[in-house]
Amino acid sequence: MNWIKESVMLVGQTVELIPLDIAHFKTLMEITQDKRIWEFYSINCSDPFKLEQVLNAAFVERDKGTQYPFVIYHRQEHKIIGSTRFTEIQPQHKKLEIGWTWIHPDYWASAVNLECKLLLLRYCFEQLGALRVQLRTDVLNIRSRKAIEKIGAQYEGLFRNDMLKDTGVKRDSVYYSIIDTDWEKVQVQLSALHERKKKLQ
Amino acid sequence: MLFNFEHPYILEDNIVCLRPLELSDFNLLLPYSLNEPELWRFNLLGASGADNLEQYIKHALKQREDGKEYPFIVYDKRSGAYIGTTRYYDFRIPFNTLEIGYTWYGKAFQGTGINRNCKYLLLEFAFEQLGVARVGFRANNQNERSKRAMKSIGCKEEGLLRNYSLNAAGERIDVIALSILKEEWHDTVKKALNDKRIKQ
Repeated sequence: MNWIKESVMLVGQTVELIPLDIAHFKTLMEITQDKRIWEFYSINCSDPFKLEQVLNAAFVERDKGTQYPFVIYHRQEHKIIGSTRFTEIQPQHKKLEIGWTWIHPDYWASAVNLECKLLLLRYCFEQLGALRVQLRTDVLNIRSRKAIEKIGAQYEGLFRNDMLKDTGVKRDSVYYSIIDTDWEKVQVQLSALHERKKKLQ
Repeated sequence: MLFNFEHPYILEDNIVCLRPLELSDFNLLLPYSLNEPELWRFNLLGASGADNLEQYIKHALKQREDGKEYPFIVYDKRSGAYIGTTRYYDFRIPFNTLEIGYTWYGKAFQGTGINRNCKYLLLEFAFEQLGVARVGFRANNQNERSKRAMKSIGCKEEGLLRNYSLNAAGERIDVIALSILKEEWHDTVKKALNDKRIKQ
């Protein structure tokens, strides 16, 4: 039995997180042409063929209940600007990971990522009743690490040779998490950050 | 990493033999399940009691069938007894990594050094035959015996994962994660572990 049983739509002020659909593929292929997005990923999906494989795999994992993929839709600009997923979903341990997040570089350092995380985490802790939400990134991806630390996730360790990129390069990953007892504090901090960021724009 | 889940891998030295776990091993392991249920105190899926043991073995065999885990039973050549089990699990083929775990031995065989022989064989096979880049280990953070054993083998501690799992009672478990990399195996761990393992 899958933990996420119904179609999940998470609506914020700037973005909506909508379940990935095959109708989104074309737009996603256009925005993921930007190679900056893929610098730290295990697969370089600026190649549309690879992106298609990755997106199709997400449907398979969604059916199995191990992943749940979203597209990030910008409400004021009426367009898709990225994607994010629940991965490593394990209902028996009430835990999951937020990953495979990519946002077009035009929206890096905006309020978009903060709002996505706020929507996703609120859903995890308040709807699903999750006890642990994991975040993981390449140790060399300073931008991503800063983003994760800013939202109040706790650093848990450095895992060596955690992945192998399609270039043959080994990737060390840093692991972070937010657990249920962190959520109240994280929510306050994240909401305040999100408000401040929006005002600046 | 080329691993054939259907192949009966047998790993052995002068002291121990690890062969694939089978359904008929139930009777060989039953005395531990009945007399030493505390062996699984820290485990999520324990084998305490006959029913749990049956589930434990069936689940392990299913995992092998599904190409997810590869369980072994451990035979002690000196005493002529089957003394416990161990497993490769969490194969991540695209990343060339796997984990070693689900290891338990009857109390009479704990602290005898035989675990080092088992780990030597499992690590040698993983790094030198399968060519993996990383072997991971995990333990309940409260399981001091397990943590000590892993560190004595040469594992490096990498992190403490909070609320990593729920035990059978629904309690939250923090898990410590450790690893050995291929380079470490060849540079230091192999020799140190070989020096420590029982030779005859």
